[in-house]
Amino acid sequence: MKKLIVAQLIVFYVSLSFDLFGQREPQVNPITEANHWSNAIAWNNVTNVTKVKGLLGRENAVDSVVFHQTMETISKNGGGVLFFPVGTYIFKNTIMLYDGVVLRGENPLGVKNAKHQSYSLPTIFEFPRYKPKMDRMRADTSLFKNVSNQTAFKSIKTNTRGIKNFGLVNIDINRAIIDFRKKNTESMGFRNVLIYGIKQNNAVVPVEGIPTAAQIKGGNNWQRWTEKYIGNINLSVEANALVANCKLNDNTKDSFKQFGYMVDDGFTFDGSRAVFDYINHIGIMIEEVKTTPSTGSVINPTETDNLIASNSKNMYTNGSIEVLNNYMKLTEGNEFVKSDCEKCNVFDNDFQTTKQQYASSIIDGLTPTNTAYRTPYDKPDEVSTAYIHTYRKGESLPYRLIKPLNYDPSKKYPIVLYLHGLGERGNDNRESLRNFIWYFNTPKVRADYPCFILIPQHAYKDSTFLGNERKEHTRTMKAVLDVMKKVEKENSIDGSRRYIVGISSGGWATWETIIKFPKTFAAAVPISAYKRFNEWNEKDRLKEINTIKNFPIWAFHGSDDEWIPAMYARLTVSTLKSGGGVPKYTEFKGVGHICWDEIQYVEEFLPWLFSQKRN
Amino acid sequence: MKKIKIISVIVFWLSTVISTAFVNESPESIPTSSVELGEVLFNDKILSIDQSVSCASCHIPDFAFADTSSRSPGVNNNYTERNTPSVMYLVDKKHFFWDGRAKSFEEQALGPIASPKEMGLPLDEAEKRLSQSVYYQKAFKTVFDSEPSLQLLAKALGDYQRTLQPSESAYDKYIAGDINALNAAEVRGMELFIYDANCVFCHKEPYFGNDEFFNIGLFDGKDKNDIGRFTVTHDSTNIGAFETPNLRNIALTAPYMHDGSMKTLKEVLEYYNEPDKHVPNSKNRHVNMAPLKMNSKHIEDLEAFLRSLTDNRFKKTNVSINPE
Repeated sequence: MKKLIVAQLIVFYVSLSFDLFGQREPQVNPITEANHWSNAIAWNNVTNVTKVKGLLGRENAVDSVVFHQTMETISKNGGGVLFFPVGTYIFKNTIMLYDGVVLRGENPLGVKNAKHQSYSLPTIFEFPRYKPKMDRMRADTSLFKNVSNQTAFKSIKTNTRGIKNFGLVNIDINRAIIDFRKKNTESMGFRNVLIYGIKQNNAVVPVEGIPTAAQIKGGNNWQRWTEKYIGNINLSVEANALVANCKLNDNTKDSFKQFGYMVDDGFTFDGSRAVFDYINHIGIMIEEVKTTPSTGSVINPTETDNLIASNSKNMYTNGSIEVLNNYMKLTEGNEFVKSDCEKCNVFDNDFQTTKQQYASSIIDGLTPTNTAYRTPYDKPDEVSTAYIHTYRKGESLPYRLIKPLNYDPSKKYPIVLYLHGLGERGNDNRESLRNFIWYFNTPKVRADYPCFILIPQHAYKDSTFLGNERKEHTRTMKAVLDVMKKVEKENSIDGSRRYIVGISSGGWATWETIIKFPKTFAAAVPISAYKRFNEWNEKDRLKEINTIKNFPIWAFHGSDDEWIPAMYARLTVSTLKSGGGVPKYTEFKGVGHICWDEIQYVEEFLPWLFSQKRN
Repeated sequence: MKKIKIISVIVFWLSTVISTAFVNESPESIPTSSVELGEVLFNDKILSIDQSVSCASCHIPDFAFADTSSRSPGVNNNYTERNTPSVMYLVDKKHFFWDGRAKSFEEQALGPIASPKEMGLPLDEAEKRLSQSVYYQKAFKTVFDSEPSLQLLAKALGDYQRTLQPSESAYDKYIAGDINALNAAEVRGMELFIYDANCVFCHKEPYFGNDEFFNIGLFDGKDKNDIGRFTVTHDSTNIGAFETPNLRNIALTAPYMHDGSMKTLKEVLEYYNEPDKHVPNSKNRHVNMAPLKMNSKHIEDLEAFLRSLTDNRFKKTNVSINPE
């Protein structure tokens, strides 16, 4: 009960101080409570950054050396306020705070209550943004510069042990966390930390160790994962801290989709299932301080004696930890204030959760939630049988065949021809099992839709199923169809129910194949692909369109495809429709090139596919 | 007693006259949302030093929030240094202005007000004017529960501009499944846009821009000497680079390019078709700016497609107006 009263008193004084002083003067302590510990801060010693020679460069770029020297000088002279008037200040480096120094911005001009929706601060600290170099950017790397961890993900912290009377007041901080934690479970002896009236957005740190060596080897050195257990503001203090009237994450916009995110086993995921979410972490973290201070600590031993009782949670006997009147927004499932101290007062905060934009398929950036997609790849020989077909002068076509569950030769089964994308080319007869084919192999699908699945692999990395020239229907594709005939001869297959399914460049081959061999298949499923109808000759163009306009086609594409913009697929489909065709088309909103894993959620898909039959 | 009554009537009458005199500066009804307030501010000349222009004077709503001259007139017979861009479809942007010097809607909104060549009103003066206006006092109180301030002015202007993306063009209908929304020429143009001319490399959906900066060859260090993005980044690869503009409603925003040097869409397309013919000694031009080798019919089709990106609401706008 006493806690509550103290907290309310502070809230009262805080609000009172606004009215009394109008909060315009940087030398005024925002907390006017008579006995409050923050009165120990040297509020009257104000240094204006614009008056310090060499501190600010062009566009208010902060010279890190001069800036830290200035803080050191203030600290040596008994501490004080380093004041940043209205403006946006550009920081390239992490800020290291000094004993007795408070960084302070101009006071809010409109609403003074951080919980109000229009609370905004005129002093802005801007830190570097992380720019991932994703798949789509490989096409022309000269256009996009990478920013590594070393130049982004900054923080405001300190390495000096035992400092006190420091903090941040009235600053809008973009892209830096506030980090006054213990070091390696050892107390840093911080005391009297004031964090007041702060706005903070895009504050995050990435998980250490991501990208892993395997991910870097796979070419995905740009990918990152959100560290869930480091918050916007992180404190482990030995006495006295106040985090009040702060607005955290109300306007965080940097979150990005990681197109082609690779997990450790080499499988890649769509960007919408692997979002680097800037607010998917703790809000404010207050850690318990371990018992023994290090020998190098500069805390007065008589003070620490009182502070630190062994194995107890009473770390803060000489002071208080308060988290009051803050607003915080986090992705759901995260803790707003994670504290493990008994003396923490957490009152009158507003918390808001927001749904994760897309369901994640990956845990901790390493392990996929659902591992069904791996089965065919991990156990290729349990699932399927490998063959090699040789044609022409020693050219080979590796392929695999999956037989229906409980194969009964007296019945006729449909056959699915699956064409892989660019990344799965090769002659190992295994890479071809990496992607979408896993879906047809799940126990339920195999039980509900018994069928043969033919999975050829394009052995040559300098071409695709279609060859280098668009016009040329290559010999590989002819060899594929030969293999299919052979398989049909040797097994009990219903020739009127052949389906062709292709992803990416295999989807491209799917379009071309049904134009070239319109009578072979009963249905086609081109995924993340397009077809440009003949642009040179109107007659040929019409011929192509008329050939497949009534063909049962279901095309899939991601609206945010980073390799092939959705416009291509839309144009293909609408050209067919303009010609009187009736293709089905599904666009997954917000999804990128690897959109095929979304098809498992399209309930009508398999019933539609397996009901198609040629007359 | 009677006297008091008469006096009070007079006082009442006077106060009404006085208050209406103040309110007459601005529209009558008090906005109830940040967006509505932003719209009022966007159209109010109070935000220029001599009360001669508003945001809407250059960002003319009928012309897709751009204007029809290559450089726009500001206060004191000044002209802007660059062509006025449209302020529509900017929601996802991370850079504003041709050189990207502003990083948010809010930052962008205050720039032209303070710029001596545009509205010329020092920002503290802007804040003072709003604070002294009875109308704006009421409006800010209603919307934000606060006195007028620069931050809230920027917020309201930003919130209003965020609503300017109706996405109701013929193209939008077409991709939603109405295959008759585009005619044959427009569809051919779309095909050229994504294949042969590869416009889509930079002009990406949904707004046909990419929020990046490129030198497309309109810099030669002599007549054409605007260094663009370089002024912000001081990175020599950015010399003469400008932000890729969004192409929605592009038919309405002539003249074109950062310097307004091209009067028609056709001129722009002919430039892309043969850049060297139009600007022979350009410097630092991006490697992807290769001649397109299109014939005049291709250019017509491409132009037809670009015109299909015009929102329905602007159908009435007289687009044949001759720039300058």
